[in-house]
Amino acid sequence: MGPGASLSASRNRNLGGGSQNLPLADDRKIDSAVVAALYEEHAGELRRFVLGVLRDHDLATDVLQNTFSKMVEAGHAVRQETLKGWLFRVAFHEALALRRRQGVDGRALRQLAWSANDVSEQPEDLVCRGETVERVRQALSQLPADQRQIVNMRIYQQQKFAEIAAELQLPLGTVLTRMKLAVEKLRRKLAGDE
Amino acid sequence: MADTNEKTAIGDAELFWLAFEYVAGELSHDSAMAFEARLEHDQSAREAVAAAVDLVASVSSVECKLPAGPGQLTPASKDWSQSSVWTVPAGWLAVGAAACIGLMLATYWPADRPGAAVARRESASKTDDTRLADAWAETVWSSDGRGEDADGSLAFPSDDLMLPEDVDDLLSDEQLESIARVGPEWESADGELVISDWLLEAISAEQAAVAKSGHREG
Repeated sequence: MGPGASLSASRNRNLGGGSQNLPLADDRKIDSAVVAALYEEHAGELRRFVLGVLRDHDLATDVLQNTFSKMVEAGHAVRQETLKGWLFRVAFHEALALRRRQGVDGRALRQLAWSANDVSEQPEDLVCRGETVERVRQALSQLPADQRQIVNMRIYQQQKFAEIAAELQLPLGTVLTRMKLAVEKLRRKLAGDE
Repeated sequence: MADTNEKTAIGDAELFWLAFEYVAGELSHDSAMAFEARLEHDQSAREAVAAAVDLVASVSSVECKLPAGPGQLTPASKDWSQSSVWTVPAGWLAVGAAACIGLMLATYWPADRPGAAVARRESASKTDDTRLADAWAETVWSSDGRGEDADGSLAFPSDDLMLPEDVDDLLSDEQLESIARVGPEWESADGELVISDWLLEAISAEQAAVAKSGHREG
């Protein structure tokens, strides 16, 4: 049994159900096992969210650490049912603050290459990742050729939609529509809706 | 109820598309600011951003093989098996394989094996095969790197192998005519006949074999 399982069990034991505040190790701080369990449950999605805001892996890691540090310090005041939203909100504020401090201009980081190595370190997550990638591969192969071409040019070749429209001599709206349809199909496949 | 679900699905799709545009940096400054204001309080928008990043990361890790189209470039993570090197005419590969097999047989055929005498008697014609193989190999694997593309991949004889000026003296009219009939791939852009050294060697070998057999018959 991996550490994740024991942490989950600890979390279930510690958090229980219903609307209550997180259990505390002392008067002010949350039990470390609970923090670890929450990290395991939310860190992946939280990290992807911060990555979407900052587009930088190192900065996203910093924000994630700051966010969970704040949870240890102040999370006792958060009700369980709003905990996920609280984590995301704190992470968002941390990301914006860091972006201001670092002078990172989000608009300057338009390429999607930063997302390529967004993989988890956990072996079990890598297995899930492989399954996800396989689903996406299938979804890509099922896309109409014109939509697949736009996906290829935007995500693999890092071309902007305006550049793609110019190169293919298509209206920008046509390019956007094709990409939108493709993205929606891929999203459904990724979510397991199809 | 179904109508509500449909509206929710459309709303989800629109939100996800907005999140994708935000993640991809395709929103204008004002639109991006407006979306970030929404991220302040809308948990579904935050989760949409995370999902958009997940999708981009997943698609990025999948090699996308697309049909060739006008104005379409190949993906950066190109599969080696899709390289244009492997799309050279199969005839070249067949000729190369045959020449290599001939070379191996000529080199490693055991001298004391039953039938070796027959093999030795045929050595004169084997020598022609070997010459042919050597000439082909020299053409393809020349030490000056002509056998490789700039990226180190395998390449085949190209247009820089031109027919010698004294080709009329070397070949008969029939042979020249048969070469010219092979097709446009033997012509350079300006219509000049292009032929590689190993093929000339092959024709010479054929001429020599015909001459020998004619001599024996005579």
